Amino acid sequence: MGDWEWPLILFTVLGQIAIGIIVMLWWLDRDRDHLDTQLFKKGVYVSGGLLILALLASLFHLGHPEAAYRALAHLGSSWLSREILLFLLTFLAWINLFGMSRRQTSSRAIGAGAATITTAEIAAGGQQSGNRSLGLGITSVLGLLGIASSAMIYVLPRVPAWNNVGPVLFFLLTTGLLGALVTLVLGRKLLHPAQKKLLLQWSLGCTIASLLFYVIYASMLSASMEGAASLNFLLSSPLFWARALLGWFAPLLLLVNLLKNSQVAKTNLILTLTLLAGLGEVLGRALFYLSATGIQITALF
Amino acid sequence: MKLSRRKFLGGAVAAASSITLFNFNLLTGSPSASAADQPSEAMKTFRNVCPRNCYDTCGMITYVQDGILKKVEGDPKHGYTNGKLCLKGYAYPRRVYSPDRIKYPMKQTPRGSGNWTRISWDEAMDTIAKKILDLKQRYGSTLPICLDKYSGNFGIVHYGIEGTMSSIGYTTRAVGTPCWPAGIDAQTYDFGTLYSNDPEDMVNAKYLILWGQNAAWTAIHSFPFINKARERGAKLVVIDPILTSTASKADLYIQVNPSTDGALALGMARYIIDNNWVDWEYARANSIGFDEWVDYIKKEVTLDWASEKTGVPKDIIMEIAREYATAKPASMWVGYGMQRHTNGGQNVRIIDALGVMTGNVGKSGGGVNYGHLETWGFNYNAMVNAAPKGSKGFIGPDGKEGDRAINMNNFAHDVSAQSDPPVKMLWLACRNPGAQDPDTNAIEKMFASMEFVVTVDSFFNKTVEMSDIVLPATTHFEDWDVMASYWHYWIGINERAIDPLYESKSDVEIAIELSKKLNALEPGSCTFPTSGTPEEWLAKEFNPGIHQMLGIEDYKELIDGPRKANMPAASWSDGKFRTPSKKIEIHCELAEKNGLPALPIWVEEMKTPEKYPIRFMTPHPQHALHSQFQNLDWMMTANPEPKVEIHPVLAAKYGIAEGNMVKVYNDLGSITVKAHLTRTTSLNVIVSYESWYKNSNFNVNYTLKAIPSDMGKQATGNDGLAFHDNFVMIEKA
Amino acid sequence: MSKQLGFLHNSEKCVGCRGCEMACKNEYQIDATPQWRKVFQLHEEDFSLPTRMFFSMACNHCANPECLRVCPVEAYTKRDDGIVVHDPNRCIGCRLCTMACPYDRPQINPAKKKVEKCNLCYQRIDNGEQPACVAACIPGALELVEINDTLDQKTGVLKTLPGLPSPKLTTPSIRFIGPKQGKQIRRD
Repeated sequence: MGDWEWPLILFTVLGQIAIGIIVMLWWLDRDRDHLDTQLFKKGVYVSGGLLILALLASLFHLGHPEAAYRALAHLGSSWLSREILLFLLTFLAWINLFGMSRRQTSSRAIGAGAATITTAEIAAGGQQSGNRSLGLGITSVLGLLGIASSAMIYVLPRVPAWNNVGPVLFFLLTTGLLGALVTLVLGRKLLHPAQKKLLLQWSLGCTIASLLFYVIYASMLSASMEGAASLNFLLSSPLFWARALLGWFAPLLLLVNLLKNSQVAKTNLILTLTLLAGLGEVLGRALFYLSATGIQITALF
Repeated sequence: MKLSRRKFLGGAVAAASSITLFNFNLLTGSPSASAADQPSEAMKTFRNVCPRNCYDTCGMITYVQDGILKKVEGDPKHGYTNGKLCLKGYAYPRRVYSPDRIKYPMKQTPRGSGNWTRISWDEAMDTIAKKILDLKQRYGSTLPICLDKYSGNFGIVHYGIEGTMSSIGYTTRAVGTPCWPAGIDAQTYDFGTLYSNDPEDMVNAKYLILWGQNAAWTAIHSFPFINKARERGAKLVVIDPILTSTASKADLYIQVNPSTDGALALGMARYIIDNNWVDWEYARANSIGFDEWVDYIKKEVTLDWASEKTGVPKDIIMEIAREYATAKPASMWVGYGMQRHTNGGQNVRIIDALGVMTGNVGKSGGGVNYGHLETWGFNYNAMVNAAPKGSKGFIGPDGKEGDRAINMNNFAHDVSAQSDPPVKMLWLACRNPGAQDPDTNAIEKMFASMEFVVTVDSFFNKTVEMSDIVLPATTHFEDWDVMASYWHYWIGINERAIDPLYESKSDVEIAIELSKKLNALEPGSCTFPTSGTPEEWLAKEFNPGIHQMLGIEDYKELIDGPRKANMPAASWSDGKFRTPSKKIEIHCELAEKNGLPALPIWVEEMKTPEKYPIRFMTPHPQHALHSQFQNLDWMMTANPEPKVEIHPVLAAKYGIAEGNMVKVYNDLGSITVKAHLTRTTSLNVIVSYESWYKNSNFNVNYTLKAIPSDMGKQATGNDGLAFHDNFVMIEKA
Repeated sequence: MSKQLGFLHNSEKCVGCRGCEMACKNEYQIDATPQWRKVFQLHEEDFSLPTRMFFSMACNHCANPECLRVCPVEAYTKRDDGIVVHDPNRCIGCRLCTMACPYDRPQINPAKKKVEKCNLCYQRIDNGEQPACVAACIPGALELVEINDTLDQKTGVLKTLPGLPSPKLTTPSIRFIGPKQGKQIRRD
């Protein structure tokens, strides 16, 4: 069985939230005017903060963090090298977004202060909005590739529980779910009800997908001795049931309730939901590492 | 469902392609070793010999640079150990540089508290000398001072420990050997002494019986010779109650009932007689009482009886009897484990007789091989010191004044039993009775009753824990010495490869310091010389006999490599036995005089008590030699905890599963240890290997009664210990 | 790659004395925890009779080394003779190789926070010497061999033993001669 890998748990979950936010912003920005500039700003800041935290956390995993830069050396076959590269590129793309958000603030301030809006300004705004979408898009794609690379690190022939589509799928679903929920929290006063509903529906989709895939994944595990050991560990661990409650069942109930009763504006519920889902994902990630059982020498010591 | 790695790779490589223009190797160049790491001195090598109580007594080459021991290797010039060491030998650097080594003289106040403080050598010697003089004054002799020294270091110069005691007067001495005395006496009665064939001669055997001998763990260097014999067609038979690593390699393994080896040998003898495979000519020409023994067998021994007694099917007894008697030559190696029974010596005598009856004694490729002391004829210069003038001694039964001998194998009891005068002070060196003596509770009680306890050691073991003062001992790499083996015929010199670490001193250096202090306090109170370098002390151990045996003129020639004693490959090949009759004494009057059967006849084994129906065997470990080695970090990683081996059927009876903690107990005491279920042991025998683990109070001797084995008194002063007649009950802890 | 060096372990000769394990430690004065080489005992249930049978294993210098594939800092290189060498100077202690190796042979040194493993004594091999473990093996159970078809076609040469991961995972450069059991007269 694996260990409590706090640096890795924090790195992956925080990194996935950060990228999830950007992806959600990009999505909301598909119709240019729909993404509130304030939300864009907030999203970019929070995403960047989380990304920095995630990268810092990852250093604690290393025996020698001072030499972390060397991890870029083996792009030819190491997914860890690729992951680091893609995360760094994502961070570069984020810096661009950050710059953009600074400029956008000032332009909007000028626009708001002026009594009339000139056509030139409209054109400039449109240009800016187009750049913004492109920036968000590039960051999202790089980030998603980074997350996929993160997941691919664990696709090890030695670890049957990981040697499948599971890691990629679950990492992306975490990105989708927590990205959407945190965006909802950030935009609780800035999002249109329709956007909120859309994000909630998306979250519901992610949760259902996560649960469904997990069931399929778990049923596949017993195919190998080591996978069965992982499954046994999971089913007998109270942590797993806490994760199921916090990360799947409670969010499902809340989401269905919120959508059914059109209570999209209930901020407290959304906060609760985000917190529960976040905890569920952190536990889920901890279990991901804890339950890993490698194929190994079974002879006596 | 498995995701193709290539698909993902494609995406990532596309995303990364713009970056590959950079050469990341520029970022990741390996830093080269800094100049500070460069050694200032070329590697030097020294010759050492492992001084542990072990068959193999390996020749070693020690690599030293800048005064630091870098690694050890086997000495390729040693013809028996052949340039290789065992796992313990390779772990020596960790012993020398262990952070757990005792570095300075220390005192513990109060004794047993663990409250140790560093003291100077001067203070240590002053305290000890004053105590010696005080006891001498109070009791009129130094007899209240008791020495217990045995096999922690078998270097010849280490007999300076006995010399230390001789030089202060007559003292009380723990006499005997816990290891092998019953077998020694058996061979002394039969042949006049113990004298085994050159083990390298095993290659000439056509049939090989290892009787209670686990060479894989305790004499690994014999394997190439055993294997060579097997390659030449010899069959390997292992007879042992435990399916050891050695037994697992045998062509035939026989799981004999413990303590019934003699019955098995008698059964074989009966079948050999019945089929007239007896070498009458050899037996009658070289022994006395042979026909008398044959008559006994014809009258008293049947194969059915032997089979029932030993648990070995009749056809197997017949098979090995035929094979052993007709192989010619056939070799037997009698292990020390099988004589640790109340009838152990007698069983060895029967096996000896089996060797005689088949004419395998005195033959190359044959022999009843147990051990020898032929190469031990040193001066023991450090040991021989006259008692100071006016010393009062103990008047022995023979009317002579001298040391007072007590039984090493019942040490706790015998120390406490002395009253005229009582024992008040213990000096322990090369010995750890806290770990190795029977009845640990009794040992603890006895130590607690002492006025003063001094221990010389390298580690804070159980005995040190019960001492007032501990003196730091050097390792053999820090001493000059010479070592012989009780198995092979080689002798090697042990050079001082590194300076003594910290404030450690050798036993002779300690004696010198003590002598200086005693004589300063009371002139003439100690006769131990106060001069001589360690190498000079070594030089004094050699004599013309040793020189001749090794074909050298000066001990310094041994620095070029160990030498093998110039002796015939087969012991007793000259037919000159050292018994009173100069013949093999199948009928031995000396044995009879000592209250033992004159003939090698069956003596009943100890019966299993009803209350404690399980035999608890505690043989030698693999990662340790008694309480040495297992505490080192490499060993603790390789073998982190003790276990007790239990047969699955027995375990099921007591509801014990693999990994459960098991309480092993009897009237004397108990230990709790983790269970390992295995069919390598038999139904009513559990096995745990004696050892001293770091930070553990595991000790197999809490349940062991000090029951003597049947022999040992004649040659070693005291009977041995029936270590393997240890009966217990178990329960899930 | 011109050849592939590896180990041939003869479980028939090996008595599990663990000399190789400690000879390895002694040669490089390895800290307590990483065990570059380790002797394993086969489960007695895997045999018709109970037994103490062993195999000794260090890094297997696999033809498809997972450690090398996953390592982000290129600490691992495969020499022309097939030896997989780990350079601790490059290692940053990410431990990914320790997750990827089915034999658990790269191990973290907790004091140095770097991974270590057997480099098949390549310096000794380059000097024409035997690896320390092979040189120390008293019963002659451990050999340095070239892994090739000629070896694999020899009778009695096995690619795996009970209790070992499938060689398909990494194509380890180790071969075995299986344990042989003698006759046993038992009391159970």
